[in-house]
Amino acid sequence: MSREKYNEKNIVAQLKDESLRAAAFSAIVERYSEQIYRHIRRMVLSHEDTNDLVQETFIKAWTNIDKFRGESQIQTWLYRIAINETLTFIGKNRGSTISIDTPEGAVADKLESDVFFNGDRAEALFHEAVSRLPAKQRLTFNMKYYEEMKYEEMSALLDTSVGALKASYHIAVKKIEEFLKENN
Amino acid sequence: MRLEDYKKKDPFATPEGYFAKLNSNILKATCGNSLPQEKRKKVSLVSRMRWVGYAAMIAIIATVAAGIISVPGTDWKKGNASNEFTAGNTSEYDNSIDGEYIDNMLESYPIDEYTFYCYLTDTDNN
Repeated sequence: MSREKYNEKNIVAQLKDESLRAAAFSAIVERYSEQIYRHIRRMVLSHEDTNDLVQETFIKAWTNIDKFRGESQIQTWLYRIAINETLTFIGKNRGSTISIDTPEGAVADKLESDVFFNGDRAEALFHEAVSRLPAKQRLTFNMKYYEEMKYEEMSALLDTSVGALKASYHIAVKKIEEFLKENN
Repeated sequence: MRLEDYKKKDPFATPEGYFAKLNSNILKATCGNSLPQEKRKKVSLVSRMRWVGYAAMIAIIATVAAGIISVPGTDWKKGNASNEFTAGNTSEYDNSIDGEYIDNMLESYPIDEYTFYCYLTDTDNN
């Protein structure tokens, strides 16, 4: 199914019909896989980890498709799964990912040597600054800064008040600016 | 250094053709079992139709062959050279009479088509 023909209402109806479910899910994958990939990649940085997490996200979505009642948008439902998967992954891999003890510039070095990173040193440092934020704050920053999501949407997704999200974003921006000031 | 000074870019790249492959992998791992089943059904139907076709072809060949063998005078097995068609042996040929044989009979015997039909179907032509 092409993007032009994608119709949320029809897709939700098709998901409820067992004979049309697979085709509807295929359309969802085609429409949202890249968006979900970009969202996760900004959180975990590595292409390989992102690849695994995107697949896990859609596998979970398919497994729990009966629980999707169409009360929220498909995109919101997928984002919730992706966020859970990503935060679980970050939690499990805390030891092997960035910590307060990681030398400044180490993440940027790693990014610059990554064949799937097209940015320069300044961009690598920018992403290092973001990656040093606590996971939930990083999530808030990415959704606001890159995806330009409204606080109300983020609030529904993250079960956090709009006020708390605004504060979190404001603090994240200050931390990033401070890191860049020190490392540029 | 302020955030506004940075150009918002996405420097994260993917291998060429990655998203098509990703989608394919996701579908294989999720509804892949359902999608091919639909395809399998189609293939299976085509396959069944092919076998029906084969069966029909075999049946036609068998019928024609049986017709040829059972026509009086061409009973190679029994070596029966008789061209006679009698009421006594109709039941033996009831299932193997073909149109050509009937035409030959009509030409050989001075009876009209309707009478012959009645004769074959045991109905009264009066």
